[in-house]
Amino acid sequence: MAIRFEKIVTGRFGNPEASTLAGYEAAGGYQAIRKILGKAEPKNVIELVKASGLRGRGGAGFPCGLKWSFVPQSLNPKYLAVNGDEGEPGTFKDRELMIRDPHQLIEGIVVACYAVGIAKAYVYIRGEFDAPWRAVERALGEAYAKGYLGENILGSGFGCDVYAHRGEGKRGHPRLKPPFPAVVGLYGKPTVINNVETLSNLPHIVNNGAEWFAGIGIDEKNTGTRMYCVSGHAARPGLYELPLGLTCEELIYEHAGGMRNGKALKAVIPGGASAPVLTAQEVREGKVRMDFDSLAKAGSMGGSGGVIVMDETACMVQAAGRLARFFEHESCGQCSVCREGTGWVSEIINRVEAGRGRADDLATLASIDPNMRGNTICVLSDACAMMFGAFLKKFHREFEAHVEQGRCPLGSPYPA
Amino acid sequence: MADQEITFTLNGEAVAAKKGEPVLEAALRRGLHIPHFCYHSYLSVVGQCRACLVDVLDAGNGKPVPKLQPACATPAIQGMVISTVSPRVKEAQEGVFEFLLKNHPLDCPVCDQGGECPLQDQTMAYAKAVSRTHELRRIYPRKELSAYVKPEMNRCVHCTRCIRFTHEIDGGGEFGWASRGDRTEVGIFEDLPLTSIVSGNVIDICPVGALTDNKYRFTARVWEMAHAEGPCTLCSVGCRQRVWRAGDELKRVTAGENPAVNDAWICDVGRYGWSGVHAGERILRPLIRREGRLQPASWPEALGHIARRLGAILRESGGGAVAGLGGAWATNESAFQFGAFFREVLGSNSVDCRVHPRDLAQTEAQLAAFGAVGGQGSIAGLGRAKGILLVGSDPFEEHPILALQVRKAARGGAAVVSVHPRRIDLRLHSGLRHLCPLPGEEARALRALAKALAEAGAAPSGEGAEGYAHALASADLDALCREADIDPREAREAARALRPEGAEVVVLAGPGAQAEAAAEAANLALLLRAELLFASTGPNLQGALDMGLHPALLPGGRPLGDAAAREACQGAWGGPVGAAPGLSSAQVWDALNERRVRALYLFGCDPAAEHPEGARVRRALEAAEFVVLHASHANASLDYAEVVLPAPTLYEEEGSVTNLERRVQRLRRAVKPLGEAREPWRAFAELSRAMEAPMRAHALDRVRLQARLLCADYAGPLSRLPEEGVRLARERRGAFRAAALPPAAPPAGGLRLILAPALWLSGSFAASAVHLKDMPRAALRLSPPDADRIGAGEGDEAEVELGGRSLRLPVRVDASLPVGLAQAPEGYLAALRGGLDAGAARGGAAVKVRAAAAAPRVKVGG
Ligand SMILES: Cc1cc2nc3c(=O)[nH]c(=O)nc-3n(C[C@H](O)[C@H](O)[C@H](O)COP(=O)(O)O)c2cc1C
Ligand code: SF4
Ligand code: SF4
Ligand code: SF4
Ligand code: FES
Repeated sequence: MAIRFEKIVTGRFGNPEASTLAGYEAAGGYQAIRKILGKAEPKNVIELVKASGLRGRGGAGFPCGLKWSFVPQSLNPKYLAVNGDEGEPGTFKDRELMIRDPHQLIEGIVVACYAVGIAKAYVYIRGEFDAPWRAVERALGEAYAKGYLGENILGSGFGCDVYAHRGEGKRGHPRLKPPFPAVVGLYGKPTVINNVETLSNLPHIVNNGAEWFAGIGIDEKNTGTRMYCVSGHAARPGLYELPLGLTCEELIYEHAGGMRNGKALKAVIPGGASAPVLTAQEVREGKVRMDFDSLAKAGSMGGSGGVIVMDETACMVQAAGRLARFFEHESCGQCSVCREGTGWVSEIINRVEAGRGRADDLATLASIDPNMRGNTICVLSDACAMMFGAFLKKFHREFEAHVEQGRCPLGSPYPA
Repeated sequence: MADQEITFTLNGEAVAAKKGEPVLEAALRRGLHIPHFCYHSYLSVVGQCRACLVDVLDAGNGKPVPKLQPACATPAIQGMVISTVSPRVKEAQEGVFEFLLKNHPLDCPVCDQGGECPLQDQTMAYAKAVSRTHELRRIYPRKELSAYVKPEMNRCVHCTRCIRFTHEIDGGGEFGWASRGDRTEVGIFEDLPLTSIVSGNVIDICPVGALTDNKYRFTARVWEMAHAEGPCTLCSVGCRQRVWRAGDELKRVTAGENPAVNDAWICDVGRYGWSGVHAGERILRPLIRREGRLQPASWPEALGHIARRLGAILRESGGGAVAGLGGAWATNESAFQFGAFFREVLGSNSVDCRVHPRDLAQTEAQLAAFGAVGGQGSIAGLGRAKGILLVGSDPFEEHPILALQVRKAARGGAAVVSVHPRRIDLRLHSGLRHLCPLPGEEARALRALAKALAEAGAAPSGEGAEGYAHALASADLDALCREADIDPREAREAARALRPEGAEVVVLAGPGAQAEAAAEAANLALLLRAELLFASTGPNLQGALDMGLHPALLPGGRPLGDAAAREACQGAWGGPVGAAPGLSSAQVWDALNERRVRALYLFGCDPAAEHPEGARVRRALEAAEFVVLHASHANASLDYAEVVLPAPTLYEEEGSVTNLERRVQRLRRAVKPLGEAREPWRAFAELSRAMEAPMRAHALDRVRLQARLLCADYAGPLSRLPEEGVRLARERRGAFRAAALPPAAPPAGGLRLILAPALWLSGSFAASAVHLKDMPRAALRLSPPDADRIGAGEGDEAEVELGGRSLRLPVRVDASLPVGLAQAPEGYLAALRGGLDAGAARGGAAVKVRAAAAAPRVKVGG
């Protein structure tokens, strides 16, 4: 099947005016809600999104319409939590969506609220994101002033409020599931959680139809585009919105300018820090495609769309050690397994990288891996294990060489 | 539905469970162990430690659950099949323990938790016996917590039990956690010191040696100790506790579990009060006053002396010339024997366990309304209530575990209304309404509340209803509120919150519910069809009354006028019982002054210090011809005694006690009585022999047999007591008493003083307990404007002048007090140091306060 190239969520990125209400309206904005509010049955909007095949862009790739349909209609109030945390290393798309096209997000939010029957949405924006925060706050002000938010939007009888927030006022702790957020979520109420990019797709699906959306992508389960955040040793790292189903090589060589300085590709992390690394050989011989299901089949995942490209000069132990630091730092500390495991793993890998590896270290790492999977409240622990498990398995020789030689054979400077 | 019984299978064994309860809870109850750290039956479920992972082979729907599940967060469902021994569970357990130990110092040899440490025990049972870590272990900066709780946070396994306890149960929220990952640090916030009166519970629930008992640590190892389990006897709640001893010495107290009383918590007074047992103030042997000085004597000498003196008075003036007070600090058995000794041997009905006028007023109010004392409510009912009316009660200061029950109810959505001159603190963010009347006007505030309830549709029914309805109809809400100085709008809101039709309302009357307020509390309980609890200060006041320590009531609460009851006593004791009521504790003082009573027997009480009308009482004690003090500790009344008999504390005696909800519990002796102290019931029997009128009951089972015969509903409990005790409830039926309220006091100018009991400062026992000296000191509490006005700040000394006497107390600035009202702790300390009496307890007495000395400014952290 030929893949149709069409930009969806970044379509207005070239237009500096698009971040303002006037610019957004001029570029066809706020038509989607005009089309459905008070006109379409909410459940038909859910059906539309189901039919489009839209899957979550936050990490898990869960079908968006299906997620919405889990929310019990009878329980009120319900909330929408918009995930603008974008914490995964290698991922830098949501902040651009919030800065450059905040009204697209707001319109998507209104569509979601209308479909699920939600009257309050909270956009959680991470504390470090200052520009996105200001852009969203300003856009919210504009949208309220123009009646796109608040009571009785466009005279449709439907209303919803949207707030930009920096948390629930508590420590950031994943909660035990079940109950799932669809039933007991924010403030103990039924809650839909969606990623910024996921929601930004909605106005387009409403405007152009499910079929149009499903026509972009490789098959009915992998529809639309993804914002690939290419970083690392690619010649032109950056943000690329491309249809689902391109191969990894196409992404790197045809879109991101190939490898920097013509060096050879060594490894790719295709979906953010949690996605198991793929070797150059796997990428090449497996013709791995960058859609959800192909990556899963290749033993990795589409995750958050962060594509980290590494050439032959990169030390895989150093890379694993750096990523382990991230997990160690981000572990919320609730689960014994993750609290102690992420730190331990990070200590061992970084010790190996620093040339102080012990003969039993690699065996210890290998046996920690399964203990960190499937045993915790959230999957950060699993993600850490998937990360270092893949590095250790696929680059075992390199780890061994570090231990044997008591130094990094690639001579990469160890960050103290 | 909620309590539907189901069965699931664990490792092939059938386990019965309540539907939906955690699989872990049901398994533990069945004796099947699943490792766990964060789970605690009385805290919220967080599923954080991951030690309890189990394999759900069948979720009750024929399907397995793919991932291992935490048993603490897995609701039990009919037909579930669970394994805790499958290879993947074993692997996960070993993994979890390896992670838990990754940064644990493993300093068991010097850790106080050793030997009773869930981490140690479960590691031996579930972990691999090898350590694979080569890294340095985590070290937290050292911080102190409090005089009672010793932190060693490097041992912390981050189970968050302490955090959840302080947030959910205690409400102070002192514990929290900072940082993330393996830097996660549990501790208290620097500006929120750990001063809660229930703080010691974190010691019991911490599953490692991170929080240990600062008073106990390094004094014994757990395997050297034995413990006795039973009710705490420091207040009338009767929390279940474990009293630990090594050899003949008490070492510590830990909480026991009784879901009907204290869940799994005790207060710090209960935890550390035992230190009074070994105190220097203990009376260790009999004393006889010779040449003006109390001098050691043998038991036979002392008993002989008492027998001679009492015998002469009896011969000359008859039994009516002897009065006995006390018994609320004794076992039921000793209280029963005290009454029998008076009625049978001395022929006197002047025996009364209600030494404090408040106890007298509250019990008489109950007798008037219900014909009996107690049995109208339950502590568990308080914890489940949907509405709670607190009358003159400040539970965190007076009966801390009741405060936790009120908080539990509030967490479950109960509306709480407090009628108290102060805005008492229950550490609730919402749901607590205050009606703060002028001191002494609590009854008027309650009448206003009743009026508001009537306006909202509550109608009295039953005996006395007509009269009360009439009183309410003719009452003027606004006038009542004006005179009581409360806001009528708030009274109406409080009435609405209490929901008149609710059967789940509980009225809790505390020490501040005196005189008319006690009677009005009973009326409100009837009007609200509510349970009613009176929380007295004496731990066994209820039991002592049931045992007959009342001038007009025989054992079992039967009136003296009832000939059949007197005959029953005669049948048990052998001699006739006089029909004429004796003198109550209120009448004794005048009778002593007027020489109608010549001898006074004080049994475990200290009216010289504890009676609010101290001067009058001391005059009467002075006038008494012969005073016996029979007590465990030297106290202020000792000065008046001619003979002193040593009594054991309730840690040293077998028997039973009855708490404020009329729960009879078995008390087990934790240590041998100190010195020559012997059980009071035995001492009375011996005294009767010395008086040549031997009582029939000369052994504990004989005393019990008599008590069972005479106190109808004690028959069962006294023969076989289940561990959690037996609550002797009474039928909830009573009569309204539409007494006219006394005229409103004219608005008083200047500063008024109220006295309120603080549990850790009340009684000679508490005062002698060295470990309680780290509790907040006795202080004069002033509202911020009053403190400013006299120019005293927190901790400064103030001189308090009242009724011609003065005393110095440190100032505590307390925003819960209204302007113009000061509060000082009632009881031993204050009285001993100069006597703040003269009616201060009622209505608030006029005082003069001036700043006396500035607090020494201590450099913090230096
Ligand atoms: C450890 C961890 C980190 C995550 N971080 C993000 C994030 O930064 N942003 C995001 O949108 N989703 C993140 N997710 C996924 C969210 O939990 C959630 O699935 C997502 O926001 C749902 O939205 P979607 O269905 O629209 O993707 C993370 C998940 C995990 C387990
Ligand atoms: S797995 Fe890690 S991040 Fe997730 S809840 Fe547990 S400790 Fe927190
Ligand atoms: S101090 Fe004790 S109770 Fe508190 S979190 Fe640590 S281990 Fe748990
Ligand atoms: S509340 Fe009373 S009975 Fe309970 S532990 Fe404290 S002092 Fe003892
Ligand atoms: S006891 Fe279940 S996770 Fe801690």
